[in-house]
Amino acid sequence: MAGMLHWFRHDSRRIISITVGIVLAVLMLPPLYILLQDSITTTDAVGDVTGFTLGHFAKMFTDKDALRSIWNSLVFAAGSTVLSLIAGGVLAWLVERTNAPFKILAYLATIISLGTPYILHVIAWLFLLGKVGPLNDLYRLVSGSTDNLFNVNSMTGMILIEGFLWSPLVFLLLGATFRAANADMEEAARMSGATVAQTWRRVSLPLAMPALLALALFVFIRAIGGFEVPALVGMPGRIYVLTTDVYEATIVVPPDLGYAAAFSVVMVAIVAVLLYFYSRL
Amino acid sequence: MRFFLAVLLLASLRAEAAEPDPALVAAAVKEGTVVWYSTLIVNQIVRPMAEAFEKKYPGIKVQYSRAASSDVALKIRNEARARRTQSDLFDGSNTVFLLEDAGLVADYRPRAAEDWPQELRDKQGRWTALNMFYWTAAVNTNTVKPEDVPHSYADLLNPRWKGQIAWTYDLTPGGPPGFIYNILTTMGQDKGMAYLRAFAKQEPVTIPAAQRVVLDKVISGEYPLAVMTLNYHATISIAKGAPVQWLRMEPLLQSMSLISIVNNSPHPNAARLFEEFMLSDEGQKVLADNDYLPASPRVPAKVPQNKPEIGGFKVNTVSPDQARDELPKWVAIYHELFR
Repeated sequence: MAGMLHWFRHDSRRIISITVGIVLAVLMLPPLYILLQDSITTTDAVGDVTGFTLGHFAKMFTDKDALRSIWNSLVFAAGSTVLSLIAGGVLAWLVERTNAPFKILAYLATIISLGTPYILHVIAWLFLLGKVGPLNDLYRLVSGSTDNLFNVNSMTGMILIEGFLWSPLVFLLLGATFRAANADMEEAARMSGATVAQTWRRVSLPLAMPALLALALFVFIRAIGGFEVPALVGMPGRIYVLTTDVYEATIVVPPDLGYAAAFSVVMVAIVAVLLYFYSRL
Repeated sequence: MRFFLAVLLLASLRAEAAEPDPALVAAAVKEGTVVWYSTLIVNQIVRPMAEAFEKKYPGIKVQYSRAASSDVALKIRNEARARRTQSDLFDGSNTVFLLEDAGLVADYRPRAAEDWPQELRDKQGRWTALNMFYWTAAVNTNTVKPEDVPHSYADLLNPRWKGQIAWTYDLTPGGPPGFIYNILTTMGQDKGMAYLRAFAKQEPVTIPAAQRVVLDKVISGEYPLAVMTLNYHATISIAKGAPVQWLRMEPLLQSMSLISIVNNSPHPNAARLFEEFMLSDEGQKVLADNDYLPASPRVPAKVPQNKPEIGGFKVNTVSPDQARDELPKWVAIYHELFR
């Protein structure tokens, strides 16, 4: 009887993992197969495969614009990751480890922010920082100039907006990490004569490192695959990244699906490598 | 006076619109449904057109879905590959070209358009013009003083417009590629390319949205000036009090939305009847009433000055065949100069 129960328990877990595996495979493998197929084949007018080609990849790795898009994607994702970690991390530390007032505001703002669709966030930031937004208006009023103080349609603008999109999530998750970590160690460091900066660098930061790295990878992956900010903020400033290049290849007439698929395969490869490291953290 | 003469002339083209063949009507009613894949705006025209048709032929139900040209073409193509064709007819400026080589477009010469000018109908019957587009520049009348309004393409090169001119990201004849075509055909290859290089130095801003949104950005004051916007979009907004004016920057670019029937569609008779209705005076009037510019020479626009015959502006036509054959060339120039 006990053996049966053990077998069933053991097996039910196996059944669940097999079921989840099958569901994921059914959901993920067909599109991935089509993507790979499209990226290395030529098709006729009906869409049937007519032959094998490496032309899509060749075009991508020799085209100046395409290489620049890959570079822009990396800069954009890295910049947004750093900004969101700094903004969210500092806020989490202030709220969890200091006696800063109005802590409730941080949570309130975070929850409101997480409940707002990202596309609205982006549009709101564009209104705020855009050419006719209040900041540039104020600058023109004060300076009497007709120029803009800040051009939001730049890589800086993209990183700023994407970074702030993710900082509430970083705040929540790092806040939990700081709360779970034992404050005694920091107190012990302070009692032993360490300054705040020393404590932070030698105790708080190493303790939070696993969480920080996991979050960094997470935000980086999401930013590489992000579309709202590159499209709405980047394209008017002629800054293209992988996702906007994929999109543009699908909207030209006739759509260049092979080229779009090749771009997507490169993105999948980048993200797969990152996810591998993410799973090992 | 000239306006009335023109209307009189248009009216005299044919005293009354031909009613469709009763046999076609009977066959269509028997099919009971027609499925329309559209690129037009649902609330503004798809729904009113469907309702007008259903009112006239109560036995036939119109089902529709809306997407961009490329998406409509991909959907029809994929359905055909799976041997599950769902749609009967489709429209769009470019949709037909993505499908005709695959043998997915039926030949049909609608009776309602048989006396229209040849440029509005395909010789083989693969498409017929449904409505007209006149692409031109538009300006915000609050932020641009009357004396500063540009009148010609040369005026767009004034340094004051650097970084101030918006256009859509739509890489079709209704976007930057159409602008490039218009310049190259009116100025000639060498002078045209020189102009385009100078225009690229003005750094026109590519707005990642449709032409209507670009015009809205001019109205909101975000950009004082835009090119490749539609004149009737401006008049719709002017009627609501928006500070905008479309410019007679000649020649304006003329293009058209085309209606075609899907080959081996599930309801071929209903498709033909619906096409006949859309191209009839009655259907074209529905377009005009909803601010679109009817293709039929017999039906004037709601704001008659928006069409060149009455508005008296010069146009340069991009024909559907040119668009199909040369679009990749214009897109390549766009990529070279403007990205």
